[in-house]
Amino acid sequence: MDIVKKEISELRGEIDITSEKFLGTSVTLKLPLTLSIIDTLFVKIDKWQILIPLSAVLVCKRINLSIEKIRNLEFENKILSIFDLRKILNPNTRTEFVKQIVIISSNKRCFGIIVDEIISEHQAVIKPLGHLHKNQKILSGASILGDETLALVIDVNAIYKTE
Amino acid sequence: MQNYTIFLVNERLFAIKVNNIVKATRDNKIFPIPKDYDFIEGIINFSGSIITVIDICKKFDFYNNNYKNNTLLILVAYKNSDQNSNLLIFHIYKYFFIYLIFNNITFKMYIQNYK
Repeated sequence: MDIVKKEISELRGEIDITSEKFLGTSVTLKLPLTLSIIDTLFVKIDKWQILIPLSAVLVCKRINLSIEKIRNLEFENKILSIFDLRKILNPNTRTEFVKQIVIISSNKRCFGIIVDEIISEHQAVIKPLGHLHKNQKILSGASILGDETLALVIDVNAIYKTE
Repeated sequence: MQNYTIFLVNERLFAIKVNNIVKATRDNKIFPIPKDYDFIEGIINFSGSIITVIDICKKFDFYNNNYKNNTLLILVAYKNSDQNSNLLIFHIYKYFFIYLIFNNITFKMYIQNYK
């Protein structure tokens, strides 16, 4: 039952058990109708508006250091790799001065990504980019924000694989 | 006889069947997509749908920097075997029907009549 609870929680669902003596036990599983609505962290990097799934975000850290000084970051007695998301999105550029780092925990991996600015939390309806973007590995879709602009949803696991 | 929309892109004449055109628009903001094909200009929000914008100059390899001023997006619907209806936008830089567009007249003509 512990495994079931864990799996259901990962799908943002709930599990409930009621039991009555000599009558029986009922197990209620509640699952979201769609997995395409997710809570995200809305950040800005260069000209892009990026949404990072909040389930993968551990901590946001404010740091004021040049990029050379933070190749790795110490967090809870662990040394984490740091990824420059600006460089991953556009290899011709790189971040010179680091202000914000978002620490990500995904698939038992923990790492940090450098972002320009953290805007807010955002509940996003993820829409697919379409078949013309088949070679797109970092992005898992896009979402329309309240001001009708578009934000890109990144796949945090893909960031780790890019390096 | 079929109706076609004819437009100029960088001195070249193109035609698209009128039936395939959903809308011609010029005020949609294009959001760039990182790490994608060169000919993909980005995506736009078209009435709640996310539509890919293709620069046909880059796609057909006749790119020229001089045509960036007058741009028009033509939203094209087409069908393929995977999905019933897909939407795709061509990014048009010089358009032939500017007069007709500004007068809110459906910009179509018979391709045979064009000289």
